[in-house]
Amino acid sequence: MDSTTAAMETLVDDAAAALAGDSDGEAERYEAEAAEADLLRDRLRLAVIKIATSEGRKAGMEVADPVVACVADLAFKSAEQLAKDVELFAQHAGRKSIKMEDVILTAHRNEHLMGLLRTFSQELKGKEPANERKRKKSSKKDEKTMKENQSTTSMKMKASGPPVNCLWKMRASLCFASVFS
Amino acid sequence: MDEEATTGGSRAAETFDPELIHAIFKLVWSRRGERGSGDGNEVVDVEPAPDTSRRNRSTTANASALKVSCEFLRIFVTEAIQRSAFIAEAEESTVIEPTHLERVLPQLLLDF
Repeated sequence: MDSTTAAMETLVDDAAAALAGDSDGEAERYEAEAAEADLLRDRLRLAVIKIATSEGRKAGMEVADPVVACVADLAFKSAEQLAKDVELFAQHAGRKSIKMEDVILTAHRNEHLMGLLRTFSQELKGKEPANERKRKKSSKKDEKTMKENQSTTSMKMKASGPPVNCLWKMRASLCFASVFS
Repeated sequence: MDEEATTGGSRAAETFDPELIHAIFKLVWSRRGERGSGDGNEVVDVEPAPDTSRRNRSTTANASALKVSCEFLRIFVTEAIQRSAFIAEAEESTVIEPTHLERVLPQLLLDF
């Protein structure tokens, strides 16, 4: 997969750059980090394969392997970017621990996405005090399933119906018009 | 890899494992810490417990923040597949090919 190779090359380049200016300890550290990153990337790829194939099945389609690999790499980079953003936001707020609000803020470029995340976070918040009182984990699982199903449904309805996901349509007219004209 | 509701097959709401996401975050944060402090004398393994005496700016994550992050990434993957599926449908294909993903990629990256 080209994107994997590219990512690996980036890591190697970083390691080489570090070697040029620093002591040997740095090189070992970078190698260990690269190995750990690869492990996490593989674990993430497995998860993405699951999610992607089940999504594809819902749409009545199969997903080609290169597509899944590409989405997995993108998801990893997205997670890295999310980590950086969220750390910055927390530090900006004078905190060392990230909160839900930090994560929601990273989605600010897309109102629709931000709304979805906010709804999800509110549901999480709403469930927790009730949990502590009486309910056990089993009912929490059921509720979370229902809520995830709801958010999945709402997302899906907008994405696969004849009027596609409104955020997609709105931006598509701007973006694709210029690219494909 | 969290598998909620494995009983209702068609309602499989699969998502990422918060622990996995947490591990990725910690990797990124420790990487930032190293580059930022720039000292070579500490042999820092990528450990869960940061060295609080010196690098006391390692970030930690709230459990619900991790869940929301999982949701974020799940939506990302879902959107990627759904948009590609839309293009594939338009081209009357039953398999989502890389060319379909290519067409949706610019907008996807802008949105996320």
